[in-house]
Amino acid sequence: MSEKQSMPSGCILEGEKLSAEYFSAGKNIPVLKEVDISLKERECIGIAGESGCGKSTLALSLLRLIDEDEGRVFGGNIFFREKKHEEIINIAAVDKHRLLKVRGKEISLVTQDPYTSFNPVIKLYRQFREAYSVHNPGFEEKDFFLRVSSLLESVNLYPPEKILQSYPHQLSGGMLQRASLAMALLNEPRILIADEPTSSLDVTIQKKIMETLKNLRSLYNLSIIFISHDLNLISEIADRVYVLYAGKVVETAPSAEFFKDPYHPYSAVLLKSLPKLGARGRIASIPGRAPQPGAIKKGCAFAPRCSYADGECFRNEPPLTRSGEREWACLKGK
Amino acid sequence: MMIPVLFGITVITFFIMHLTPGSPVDGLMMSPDVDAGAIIRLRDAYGLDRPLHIQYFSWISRVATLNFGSSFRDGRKVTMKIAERLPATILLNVVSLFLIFSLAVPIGIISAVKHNKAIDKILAVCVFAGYSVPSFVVALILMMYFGVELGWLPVSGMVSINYEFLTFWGKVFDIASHLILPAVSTAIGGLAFLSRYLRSSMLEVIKQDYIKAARARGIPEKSLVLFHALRNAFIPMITVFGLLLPALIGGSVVFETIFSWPGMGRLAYEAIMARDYPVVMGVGVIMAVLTLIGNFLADVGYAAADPRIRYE
Amino acid sequence: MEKLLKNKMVLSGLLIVFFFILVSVFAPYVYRHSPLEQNISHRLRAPCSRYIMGTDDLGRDVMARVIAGSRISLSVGFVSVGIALLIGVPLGLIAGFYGKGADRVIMRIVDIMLCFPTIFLILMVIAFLGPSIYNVMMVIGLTSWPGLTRYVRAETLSVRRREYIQSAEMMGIKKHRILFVHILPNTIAPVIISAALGVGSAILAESILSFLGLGVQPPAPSWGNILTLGKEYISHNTWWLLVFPGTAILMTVVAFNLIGEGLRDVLDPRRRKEK
Ligand SMILES: Nc1ncnc2c1ncn2[C@@H]1O[C@H](COP(=O)(O)OP(=O)(O)OP(=O)(O)O)[C@@H](O)[C@H]1O
Ligand SMILES: [Mg+2]
Repeated sequence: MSEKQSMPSGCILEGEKLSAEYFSAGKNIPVLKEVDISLKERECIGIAGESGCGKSTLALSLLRLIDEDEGRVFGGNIFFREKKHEEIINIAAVDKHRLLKVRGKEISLVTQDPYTSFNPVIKLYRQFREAYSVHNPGFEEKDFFLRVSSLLESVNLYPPEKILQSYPHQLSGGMLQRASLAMALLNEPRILIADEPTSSLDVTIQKKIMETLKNLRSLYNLSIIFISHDLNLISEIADRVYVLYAGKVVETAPSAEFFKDPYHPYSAVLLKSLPKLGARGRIASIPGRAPQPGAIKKGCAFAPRCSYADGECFRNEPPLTRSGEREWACLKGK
Repeated sequence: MMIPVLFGITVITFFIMHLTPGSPVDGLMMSPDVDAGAIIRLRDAYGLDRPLHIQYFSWISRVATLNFGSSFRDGRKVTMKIAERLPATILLNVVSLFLIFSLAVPIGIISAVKHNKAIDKILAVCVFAGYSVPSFVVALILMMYFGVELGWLPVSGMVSINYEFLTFWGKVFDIASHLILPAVSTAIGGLAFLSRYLRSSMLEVIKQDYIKAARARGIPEKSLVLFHALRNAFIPMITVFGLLLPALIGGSVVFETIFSWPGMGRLAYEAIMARDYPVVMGVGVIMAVLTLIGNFLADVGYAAADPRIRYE
Repeated sequence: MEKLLKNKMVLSGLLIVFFFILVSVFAPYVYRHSPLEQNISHRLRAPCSRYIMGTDDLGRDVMARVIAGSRISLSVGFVSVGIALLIGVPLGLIAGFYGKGADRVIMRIVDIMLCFPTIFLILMVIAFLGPSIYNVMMVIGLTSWPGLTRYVRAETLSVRRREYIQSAEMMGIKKHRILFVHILPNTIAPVIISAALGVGSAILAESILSFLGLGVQPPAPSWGNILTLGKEYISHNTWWLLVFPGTAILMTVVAFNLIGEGLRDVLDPRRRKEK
């Protein structure tokens, strides 16, 4: 395992050459291909891409949450700067014990579907208490309750006592998503991975959750990885954008520049097809369909749908070009 | 649900018995020490020469007041006969249920946690054998080995001859040693069924997103399995309990006969062999009622265990 | 079909069944002892070179009886499952396809049957009909169809909901045509699976009945009958009267369970859990 003594200053999490595959019907289906990703202290990065491009897989990989018999993450490193000692650990290589101290304590995850983020047959109170107790052995009941109530209030869930005494199915989707935001922040993590936190909610609630998320970000000094297929949402919150296509990062850029002038043809198409702000977030019409993971073996994965593509694009895989803070992988782009 | 099922069962029981050739009176006529007058009195008393549906309705209206009539063989009240046999059957089945649950839960958990590892495969083979094996043959073999060959355990009845003279703990121990072989044999089939069921529902639950979400909170694997997954897997098990019950009660006919266990199952067997109508019907009704009560309890338990139903 | 044979469970199950069929058909002509031939002076002999599986209380060769018993067991297994199929499949189709009142009545009957301790029912009927191999076949068949009806009904319902069936109905294609052309073939997989499992339980049920003296009557050599003697002479430690017929039952039941479960793995990838 490669060791790393230093990370760029201010950097808190760095995924390096992450590849992932699922095992399905006896075959290995590659989903992520050498993805590099980095997150600075208090930064919010947005990860954009169509359905099936591997966004959720990336989120799970960062916490090693892909089950052993479901698939695997291989080849890469995930460096993380620990809070206490400023020590750098490699999440991809640490032992199980250490991993448990990272999950939920240093890095939290809010999943895509609020209806499946809580155990349906256990009261929220017990689920919160359990998550609190694993990271605060010997805690005082009073401290726990104060912490939970203040969190629930900060995500606009009142009254805390009543919410905690409920079973998940007694709350609405929006309330559940708030509850799972509160759950994610329970142990004061420094990084929050939000995997499409609003995509299964309707638009008015979506807006409120985004507001809440922005509040929480400044309230708790969070670094956020915000995953969405909706570039509107990303533009609202992210400082930098990663565009994922068929399991590869095809463009990285600071938000301001990206939304003004995308370099990769795919980003350009994505941006052009943006629905008006506030309309239901669905990527409208991009010609063709996103390739199945592993379907494209040679050349640029986007070539078949790209209006600039020529023979070269089908033959050679475009390398990542870098200029200043921007990176893009296209033979034709700027 | 209960009422029509009960009705159906009594109808089936009643008509099967009466449509078949050979009346109980024929049976009695064979025996030399019964005089003709007694036979006629019997026929009148049970109304055996009236039309079937009338017999059924007179019978069912008596059944409603728990009056099953008297045995053809010894003239004792059926209710009494059943009442004295019921405790033994309940004891046997409760003990086997206890065995089943206390073994099936760990087996199910272990094989779900060690999914596809060696131990899971070994357990899977055992479980498969467990429900392919003819458990009454196992009962006989156990009986021969532990009872006859080694002489460790009694092989028949519920108490020893000297039971009356034992101390309280001596009595408990005596019954317990008589109970071991029948209870183990009765448990085999249910054990295999339940551990398999639990394994597959644990595997199903453990793949759910909410388990992954809990894992993302840093909750150790042990509590994920023992707390989160088990809670969810247990709920369908409660219904399975309802399915297990008829099999157990039916099984008690076989195992009580093998081990001469003085329970209702053996009573049923004896009554069937003797064509003792009132007893057969009484036992049938009680068995059905027990099954229904079990099912009812399972439904109530299910509703109590699953908050999603409770609040609907 | 190829896929079926590649499945190890199905294959080994079929091999065992095939072995038993071969034995039950040909062994009586090859094996030197007859199942009925008595030799009182050789009664209750433990297995030896002359009597590989020992002898029973009348000095009959146990191996010959076990072999002859396989004929009885297999025929009871197949015939009673056949009867169950004849009742269970049509009822399931009717319940699932026509729904409404028919469905309600049929499913209520199924519930009643499933609630009732089957063994008790079987014993009762046999006791009153009189024990014979035909009655055993009949009664096992008559009591084992409800599970089958459930499967068939469930499958019928799910097929009916599929789009092409719905559009066929819309286009006015005759109902019974839809039933036979589209729905029936789809129910074949679950039917074969439960039939295979059913043969196993029917064989088991027959041996229990014979053991209790309510099945095939002695001197006919049923496995259950050999076991009855085993119980009778249990204090003589006559283990061969238990172990050999017991193993024969175990092997056939295992074989049919292997076939059934293997088929389920192959034919039903969703692996619907049995209920
Ligand atoms: N457990 C799994 N087993 C096999 N394949 C999987 C599994 N989970 C996801 N995949 C496949 O991996 C690919 C990427 O899935 P992923 O969930 O990461 O996409 P996503 O970008 O999050 O999409 P969405 O916007 O729909 O959430 C998809 O093609 C999906 O079918
Ligand atoms: Mg996703």
